Amino acid sequence: MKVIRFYARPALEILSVEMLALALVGAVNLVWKGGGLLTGYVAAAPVVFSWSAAAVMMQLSEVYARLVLSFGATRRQITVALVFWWFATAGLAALQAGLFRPLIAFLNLSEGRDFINAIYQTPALSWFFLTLLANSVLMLSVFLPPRGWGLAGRVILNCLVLLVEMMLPIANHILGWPFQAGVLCSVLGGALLVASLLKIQWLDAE
Amino acid sequence: MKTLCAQNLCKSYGGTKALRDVTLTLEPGHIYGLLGRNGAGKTTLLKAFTAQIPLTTGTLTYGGEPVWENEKALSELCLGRELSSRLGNSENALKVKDYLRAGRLFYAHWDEAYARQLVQRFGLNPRKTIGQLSKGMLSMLSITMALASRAPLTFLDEPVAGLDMVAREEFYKLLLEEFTASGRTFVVSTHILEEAAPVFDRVLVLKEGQLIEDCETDALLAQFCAVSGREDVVDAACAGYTPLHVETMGRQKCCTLRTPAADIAARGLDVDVTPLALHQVFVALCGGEVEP
Repeated sequence: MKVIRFYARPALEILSVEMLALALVGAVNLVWKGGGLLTGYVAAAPVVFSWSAAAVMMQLSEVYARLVLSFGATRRQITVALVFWWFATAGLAALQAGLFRPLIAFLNLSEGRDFINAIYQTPALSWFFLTLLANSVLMLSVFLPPRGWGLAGRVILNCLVLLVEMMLPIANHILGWPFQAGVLCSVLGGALLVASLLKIQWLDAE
Repeated sequence: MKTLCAQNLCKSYGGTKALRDVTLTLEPGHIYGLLGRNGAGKTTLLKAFTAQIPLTTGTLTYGGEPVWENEKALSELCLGRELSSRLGNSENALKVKDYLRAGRLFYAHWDEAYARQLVQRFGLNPRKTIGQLSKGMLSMLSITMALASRAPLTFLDEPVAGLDMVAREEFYKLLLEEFTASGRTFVVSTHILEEAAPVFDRVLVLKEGQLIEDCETDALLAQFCAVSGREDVVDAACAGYTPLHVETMGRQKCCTLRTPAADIAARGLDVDVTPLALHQVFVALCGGEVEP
């Protein structure tokens, strides 16, 4: 429990900054209704938020795992805490996607925009699964690259995450199987999570 | 008070062996000095003691229970180590007060009032982030965490790195105050032996990952002496002993021996026999020049 509490602060800080940023953009968009770039940004909010939830997991995973180890936390405690936050951030991302849907409808932003439509027609549960996968990929990007692989490798994996983020609306829009895509995401994400968590067993504190 | 027992600890990083078969017992109620050259394995050993790194082989118990993945044991072991102003790829944005709050979460005997007192004494600003602290301030924060943890077994890795002379004296004073009041066990690694020597009642010396000495400080010092005088007389006084170090200047000679001063003095020759200080013993043990 104490490791979950230790992680809560940075997790909520990062998430709240993201939510604040999105709320501000949304407010500006309300004033400048129909503004191209901003409209697009608000419309893409679930993707952005899902990605930022994954970024939270990235922050929490290796960096904070190393820190919390130095206080005498056990690897078992860290594993439990990361799994908890893995699901919690995905849940928040799904919730946010659900919350933005009425806003997008109210602002009528998706009119004539197929891709935005696809985003907002994707069920919140699928966003949950998608974020699980994004979390896992980002966790993997900090845990698995060998030392020295460095920034370039992480950037590539971050791009991969964003690509994954796009998969779901595409699957929904083109193939018409959002839920199946979500389940696939969760299975793949689960496998990646297990790989990341296994690495904690060999992690050194810093 | 419990003992920490290490048996045949080995740790390898790739092909590099950082620890080789380290076996020792840390008894309660001592201040241990952990000495060794750079890269000797001091930090690795301290991290191993606190389960911060997985061991390659060996067993470690505290009060008879394994330390690894043992939440209860780990809440009684604290490693105060040099903090970094970086966390991952970015600046360490953790505030001093949040860092200390983590100590409260994890250490069973955490003393909040003492932590606040130390923060005030060191002039630390609790609202500053770790990334904003100077090297000396980082050391002070690390010392605050270690002392306020009130952990029965506390390890301090290079606690005085970056501290000025006044702050270093303050630290040793605090350490002795705390030791006298609580009887906690401390293991302190440092390179500034001239200042730390009077504080250590036992000494552990690591050389290339191996524990080469584990004894009382006085007992270790009593095993060494420096013999100086006229060259031929010094040679006669040292006959039968292997000098650890020899220095000659004209007809004068000085030899460092691992033998009690009384043994040489008993030979009744016209030489000066002087005991060595801890830093000189350390240099003699770890291979280097010994000052006469």
